[in-house]
Amino acid sequence: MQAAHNEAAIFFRLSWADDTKDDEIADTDQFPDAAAVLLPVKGDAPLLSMGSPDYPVNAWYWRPDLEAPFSVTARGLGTTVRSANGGVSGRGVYGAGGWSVVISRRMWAETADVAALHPGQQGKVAFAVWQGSGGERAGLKAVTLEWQPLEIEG
Amino acid sequence: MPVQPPPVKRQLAAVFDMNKCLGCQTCTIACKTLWTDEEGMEYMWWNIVSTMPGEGTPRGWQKLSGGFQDGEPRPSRLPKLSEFGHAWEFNYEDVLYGGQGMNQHLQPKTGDDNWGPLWDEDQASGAYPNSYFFYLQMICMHCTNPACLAACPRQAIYKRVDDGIVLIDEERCSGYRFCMEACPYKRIYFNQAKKVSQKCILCYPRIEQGVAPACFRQCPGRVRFIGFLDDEESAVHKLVKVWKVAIPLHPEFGTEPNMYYVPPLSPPLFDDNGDVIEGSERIPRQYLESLFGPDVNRVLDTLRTEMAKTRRGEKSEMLDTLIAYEWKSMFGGFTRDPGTLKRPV
Ligand code: SF4
Ligand code: SF4
Ligand code: SF4
Repeated sequence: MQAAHNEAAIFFRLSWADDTKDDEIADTDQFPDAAAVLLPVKGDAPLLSMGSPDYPVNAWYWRPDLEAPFSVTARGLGTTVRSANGGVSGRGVYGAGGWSVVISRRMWAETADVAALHPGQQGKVAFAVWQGSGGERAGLKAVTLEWQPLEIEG
Repeated sequence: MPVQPPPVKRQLAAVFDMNKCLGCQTCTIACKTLWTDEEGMEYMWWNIVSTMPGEGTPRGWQKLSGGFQDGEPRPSRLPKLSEFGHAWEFNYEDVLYGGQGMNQHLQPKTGDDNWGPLWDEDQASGAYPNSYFFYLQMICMHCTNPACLAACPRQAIYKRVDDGIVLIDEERCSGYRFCMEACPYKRIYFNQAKKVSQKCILCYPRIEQGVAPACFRQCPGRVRFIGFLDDEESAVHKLVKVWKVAIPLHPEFGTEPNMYYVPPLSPPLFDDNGDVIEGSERIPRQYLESLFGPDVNRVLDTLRTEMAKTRRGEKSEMLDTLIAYEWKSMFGGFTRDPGTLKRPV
């Protein structure tokens, strides 16, 4: 995991080992690999239940078979809906037995349903990856079990 | 906690009279041309008529499990494309127009496939002269307790309150396919182009206009009855609720399907001298019990009693209903001519 920002945008690089490159839905029983950056939209959003009605969680979701990552917001398990994209973009490269994926977004937030980020902020972040060849999708995933501190240098 | 069925006010149901089916697949093509002719849907057969005993489609689906046991979900697995059967494209250009007709034979472009949705069509079981087969009509069962709906973590599947039709909201569907795994009848297909799950919609846009679903209306064998289960005037109600000669397929799957079947009667067996064995049946009852449960015995006996009545010259309203002298009697009021509908532009 690496992170950087340039005042205008913030970048997360996720790298993980994966011996199987699942970059497309090759069959009716196949799933693609995937990764996500998770952020509380505000305060004490619960991570493992993917937020709550009052405290949503925003995720920037990347998949190798989709053109670009996109932003979703969840207010509890199974409630994710697409949210304002706010410039979420990214790219993934497979090599040397693993994925390296960069997901970025503009700082600040243009709408209330996504995470606000700004230089000098003391926030929280979490990450999730999905192993396609293991049938992982939706809640079946590897996720950081707790929020990690996110300090955005001012 | 056992899964609770979603509430409905009324339920549409269907009856398939297996004794009348010609195996012509007109129903299959009616659905194909109306609903599944777009990219990503090539391999889909929301309606299919399988030859039984046979593997059906996807291959061997009856052994894949899913559904509920004692109210709890039973695990299953996702079928592969090769188990459904690829949508074959043939090398017509080469063989017919490309001057290769003498050295290439007509074959699927995917090469040597060894399975397709109707691979074992019309293949009989049992030894001559006592061989037998029959046809099984399959669409989504629009279950009262749909395993597909219970399995979806995105609540993308819903059961309509006014008619009990089970639909997938493609806007909400993320293509996770928990539904496809959970459906014990394996009636859900995955669209690789749109990355969403799709299945029979019971032609709800036609139903809403009073028109019977395409696979029902087009059936030349008058096999398919449709109507509201609580509509006492409908043939469906009479066959299922009053005379009880239409029963669900694999009731043990626990989803309470709303498609009912009049099970197949058999011709008698021949003995070694080629003489008819009176009172015998070609299709083993044990096999029919494996499909419909032990209740199938009661139904077959009822049908035989009723047939004996008509042979004595008595009237049978039940058999008249099954024969369906007037096609409109089959559709529970959904008799509007589809030709009068306006096509959406
Ligand atoms: S047959 Fe399968 S897809 Fe159709 S409602 Fe029942 S469980 Fe769902
Ligand atoms: S009811 Fe309509 S959608 Fe369902 S199988 Fe028949 S034609 Fe297809
Ligand atoms: S159900 Fe009707 S249309 Fe379908 S195969 Fe049987 S006879 Fe033909």
